Amino acid sequence: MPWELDETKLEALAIGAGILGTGGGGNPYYGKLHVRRLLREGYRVQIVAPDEVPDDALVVSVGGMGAPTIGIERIHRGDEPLVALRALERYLGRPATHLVPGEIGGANALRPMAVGALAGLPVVDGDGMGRAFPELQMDTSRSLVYQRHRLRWRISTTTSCCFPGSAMP
Amino acid sequence: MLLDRADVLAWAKHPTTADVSSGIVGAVRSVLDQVRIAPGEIGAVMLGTTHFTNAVIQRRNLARIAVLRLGWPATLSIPPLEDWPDDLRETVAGYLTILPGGHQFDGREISPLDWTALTAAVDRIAREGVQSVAISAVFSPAVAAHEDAVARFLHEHRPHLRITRSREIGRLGLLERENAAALNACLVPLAEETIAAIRSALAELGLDAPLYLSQNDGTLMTAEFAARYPVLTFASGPTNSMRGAAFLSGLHDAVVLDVGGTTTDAGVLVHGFPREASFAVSIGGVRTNFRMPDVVSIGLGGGSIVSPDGTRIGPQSVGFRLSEEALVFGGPTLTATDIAVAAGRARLGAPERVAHLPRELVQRALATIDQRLSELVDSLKTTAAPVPVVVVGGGSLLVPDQLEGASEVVRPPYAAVANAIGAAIAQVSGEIDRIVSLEHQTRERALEAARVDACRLAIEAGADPDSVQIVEVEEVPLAYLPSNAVRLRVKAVGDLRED
Repeated sequence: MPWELDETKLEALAIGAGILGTGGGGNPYYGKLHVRRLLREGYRVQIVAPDEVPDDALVVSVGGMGAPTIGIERIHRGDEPLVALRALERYLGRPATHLVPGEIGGANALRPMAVGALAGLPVVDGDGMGRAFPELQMDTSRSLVYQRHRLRWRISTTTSCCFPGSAMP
Repeated sequence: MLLDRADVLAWAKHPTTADVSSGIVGAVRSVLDQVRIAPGEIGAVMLGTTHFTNAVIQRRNLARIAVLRLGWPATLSIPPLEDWPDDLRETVAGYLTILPGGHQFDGREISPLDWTALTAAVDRIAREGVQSVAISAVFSPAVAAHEDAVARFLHEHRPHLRITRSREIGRLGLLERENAAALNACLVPLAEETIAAIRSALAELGLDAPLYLSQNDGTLMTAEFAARYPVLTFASGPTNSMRGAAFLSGLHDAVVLDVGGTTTDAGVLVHGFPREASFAVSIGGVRTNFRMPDVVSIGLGGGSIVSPDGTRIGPQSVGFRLSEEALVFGGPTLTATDIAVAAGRARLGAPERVAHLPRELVQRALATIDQRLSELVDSLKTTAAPVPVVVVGGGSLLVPDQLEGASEVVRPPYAAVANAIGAAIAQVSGEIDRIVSLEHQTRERALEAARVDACRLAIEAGADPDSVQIVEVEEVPLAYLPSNAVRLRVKAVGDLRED
């Protein structure tokens, strides 16, 4: 059953994401504050199970990569990943139907919740790693042939929010 | 506490009074009476206070403030004071805004300062009747220009405004640094008033010696400086105890247990100074990141209440009512102190009043105490090797002479007033925390520049130039940054100059 993120569950999610950051991946704290603000402004975040995703869904994983050191100082404006999502949709020629965290540990864990709130898209409870990972290609959807995998979505693409001044390796 | 260099001449303990200054005057007067020294002979007065911490925790006497963040259009996802407890934010928030300004990590501007918007902000500050302002700019620890320019602008237009620049207090981490600056802004009017009151009270006693306040890292700041940066006193309590413990025991690398009536605070001495917390520290519910000692507290002290079977001790405590409540003082409550007396660890009150306690109960409670203390010591250690443990504070009789994980248990004289000693022996420091690029300079040159600047800051803060030495160098390469950037923290410490 789809469920809605509320402040209590958000707090629990941020704690879990901090643990699953396994010592890296940045602090989920800043994303938590952003999502909490959105919830207080009336935005809603819906979470769905992988089984609830239809076969023709376009599931997009959202996140940033680079130095967390930058992110604790130059806090996000908030809509950077949304801009990246829109650019990807233009490129693919079709709108995304779902979002999914690339990693459920560290700062990236809560990014899809913020985009989900802003874009009105559900977030799939089925991240690509079960923790934070150091490199982009370590994501499940890239390291497995997806027909063999239980996950049912057809296309999974990571939008990397690269905006002026962010540090990218 | 009256010290002649390393010798304790006299000491007195007085409870804090609501107005702070009359309690201080009482203690100073009784110390001066003990030794019959003319007030004019006193060279310097050092004061450690938790008055400003308490003001935040109790939400009392805090000023309404404005927070000007320079970072637009970045940082909008989390506005200033976003994660503050609601009651505190409502008490202090006068005007919060995010304006163009701030820098990228490599020194480029995020956006130029917008003087029209700043003029409007000044008007708004005046309309709100706000007297104290915090300014925080993105990457100000690396590039100070925008915070400084806006501070000048505010000062030119509203000379009476009290201004706190975030880079003067906090480190990298915009929200935490901004929080620290905002807390400081809330406290500046109270600090000015309190310090002026203490000064005039001391003057009435004939003491015209310079007044210093101890700060979080165990060093001193002048009273003028403290009136501008009251948040820097926030953790001076445990820090002073640890510095006092170092001085009294002669140990510079050790674990310190400060055992009080309700809690035991534990910290680590490294080269004679408290080890600093490496992550955010919460004060009154506000997340900050300025330099604070790494202190772990557990609910175990001399007044901790012992369960009838001896397996649970604390966190409930009889606290300051120990002398009425504990069994050995004729009271009805079984406390940790009673266990220590029954086991022969201490001689206190009337030992016969605990003679009836079952031996098994006493042994079990002792084992509980020892286990919690040794776990506490263990949680602070970074290696498995046993370390010396210095015990101070009124409840120190709880600590056994043999403690697991401790190479020795040291109980220095005057342990009950280690805190005041820590304030009295304090030195002065200068600290540099900056991000440097190693593209166009060598690492050695960057380190040397930071060392020189740290020494200069220490001398400016009142250190005797001959005594200044570098006590800490920390070098952290920043991953993923293109310019081979390194974060350098260098701290210099010296003895107070005697003028």
